[in-house]
Amino acid sequence: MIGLHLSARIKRAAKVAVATLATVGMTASMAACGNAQSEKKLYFWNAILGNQGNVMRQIVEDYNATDPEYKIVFQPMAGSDLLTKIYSVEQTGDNIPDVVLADNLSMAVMESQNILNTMDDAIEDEPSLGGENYIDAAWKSLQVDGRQYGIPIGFYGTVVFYNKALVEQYGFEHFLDDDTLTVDEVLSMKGKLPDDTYGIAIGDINEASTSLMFNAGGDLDRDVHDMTSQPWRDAFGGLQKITKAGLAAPYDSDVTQVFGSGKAVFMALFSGDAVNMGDVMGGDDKFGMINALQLNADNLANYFGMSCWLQLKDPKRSEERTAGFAKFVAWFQDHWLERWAKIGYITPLKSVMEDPEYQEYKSSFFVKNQRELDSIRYSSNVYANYKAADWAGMKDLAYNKMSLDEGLAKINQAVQGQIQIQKETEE
Amino acid sequence: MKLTKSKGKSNSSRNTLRHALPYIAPHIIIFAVFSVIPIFFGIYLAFTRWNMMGSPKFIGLENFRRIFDPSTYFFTAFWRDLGHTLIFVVISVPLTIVIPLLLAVLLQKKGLKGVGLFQAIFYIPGLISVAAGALVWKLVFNSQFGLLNNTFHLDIEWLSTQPGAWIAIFVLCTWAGLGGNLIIYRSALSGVDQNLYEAASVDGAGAVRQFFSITIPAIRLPLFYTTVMTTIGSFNVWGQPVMLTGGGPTDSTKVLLMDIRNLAFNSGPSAAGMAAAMALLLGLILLAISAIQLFFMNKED
Repeated sequence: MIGLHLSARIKRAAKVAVATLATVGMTASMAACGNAQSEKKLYFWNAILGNQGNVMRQIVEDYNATDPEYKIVFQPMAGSDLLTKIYSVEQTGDNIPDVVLADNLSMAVMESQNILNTMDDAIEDEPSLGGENYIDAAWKSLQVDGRQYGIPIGFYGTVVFYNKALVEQYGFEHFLDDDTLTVDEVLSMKGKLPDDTYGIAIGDINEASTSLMFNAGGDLDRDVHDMTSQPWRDAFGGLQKITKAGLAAPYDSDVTQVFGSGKAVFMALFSGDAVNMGDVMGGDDKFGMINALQLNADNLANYFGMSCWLQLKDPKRSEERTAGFAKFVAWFQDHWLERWAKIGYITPLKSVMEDPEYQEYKSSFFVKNQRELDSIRYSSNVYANYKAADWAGMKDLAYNKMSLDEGLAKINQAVQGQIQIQKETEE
Repeated sequence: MKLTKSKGKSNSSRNTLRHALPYIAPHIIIFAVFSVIPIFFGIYLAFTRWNMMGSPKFIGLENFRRIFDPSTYFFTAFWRDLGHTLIFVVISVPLTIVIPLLLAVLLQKKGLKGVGLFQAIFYIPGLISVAAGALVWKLVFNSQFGLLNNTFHLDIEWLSTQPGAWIAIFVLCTWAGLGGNLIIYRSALSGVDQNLYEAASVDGAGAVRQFFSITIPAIRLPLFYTTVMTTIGSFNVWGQPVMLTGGGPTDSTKVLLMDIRNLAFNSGPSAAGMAAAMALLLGLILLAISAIQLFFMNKED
């Protein structure tokens, strides 16, 4: 009987202990959340994974090693989670990160939802972050209604790579005279290549077609509202001609594989891929990079995205924390060339652009002269990314699986449908 | 006396509940937080406009009106891609039921060597992530460098033409999905009385007759269970078409979950209300189909 009582007491004591531990644990973790603002730490949310993530992690560690007043806590996450988590913390008002790395189109979306601070305070704290230090297009790509919501990190876009040996072998060197490959030049390759070799492998129809649209006189801010407009017709008409002539790598190609195995003379792909292309091609001297595919070389247009630093609104954030944010961004900017250039981004910084050391990087091509600088196109329109609402439809259209009228109408219906919903949400 | 008995019973059930609560509470809390609350919030969202910031704006049945209005994109997307989802379900469910069942029966054969090895071979694909599996199969079906075209000297663009694109998706899904059902069938078959087969043999029943008259009735409950679960899983297909075909060619393999995800978690501002409305309709369809299946299951039982 005594044994039974004892056992019951032990059980009860165990239950109490478990409950106490759980309560203490929860309280401690909640207290940790509550103390985030008083800690001398800045939480840095980003969606950079893989090699880029490793480089950024190292940058953060090196910055922290300088013993700043506010240390940076590197918190990477999947790209699709970043915005969702930002919305969650902005709704609750707790655990809002101090530093965010995103892109200009996400910036536009966040600005439209009134959750971003302007960079005014950060620039006041660190004048080196001012617009005069940045390439004009880089700076303006992060503005909405003239207000600066981000600090540029680097441009990226879909540009053209070429296989030096194949260009020479088939006598296409003259295509490169103006650093630009046009649709007509691709079409002129017909009959000059073996059956198993393609003129061009197109890796991202969405981005490639946007450069073509700008090149044809379009403007994404305007033409996203009418995907059947003449510039879009010209852009997809050009791509359709290439695929119809059998000069593009097949629809289901792994374009890097096609290009790397010497089965395509040119390739349209993400500029940052230049970093790994040397491994694919067997050396950095085996390939070159030029402007995005064009319809007309006279109106050169490279549609680029911009990676950027952002600061979310947080009523609890102190001025000191904003100063800490500015100090970290300024430190990153000071070390851009030695640490971030190797990732493949195109510099937004005037000082780096003019540095001879930067000329060793292939990305320097896109800021090498005024013509290139003038060719940069961007959009900071909240609806701009809806252009890819029917991403697969764009590929189908480029590969002639639909007529131009049918395909553009279909894409337009998807894009306008989403814009309409969004406008109704904002009303 | 009767009253005392009933009072005693009620006390005892209260006691049972008190003792059970600490054990089931964690599950109830997790279930409520991660399932019940999101389900009700999702239902509410279906009647709103919401871009994930601020408060959802109640708009009544407007989202559903758009889905049923033939002039809108949402009508086109919903009904077209619901049709594709149904095509997927109608073909992939029988494949992921029948093939594992036949393999399970085969592996049950007496004297068969390497049963464990083959079971492992069939089961392992289910442990591989959809993304990794799809990458491998994408290489197999690649029109230029693919194993299939090169081995059999074919010139088929599997992933960019029909029926090649659907075939590739069904192959991937069957490959990845057969292991789980195979294990369930193997387990069920091991419980079937072998004397029944011997008796049937003596009576002159062949293998096919034995399969339909003994095996199927004996494992009908696991068979119903796997049918219901596989059907639900198939309606929620997303990763396989995304990874293999991106919904192409010309949207012919685009399934409803792709639209729902694109609307809710697009790179542009979210249309979470419309996505929730589509998800709610899909949920209702799933509920109806599961109810029909369960009705027949209970009837058989």
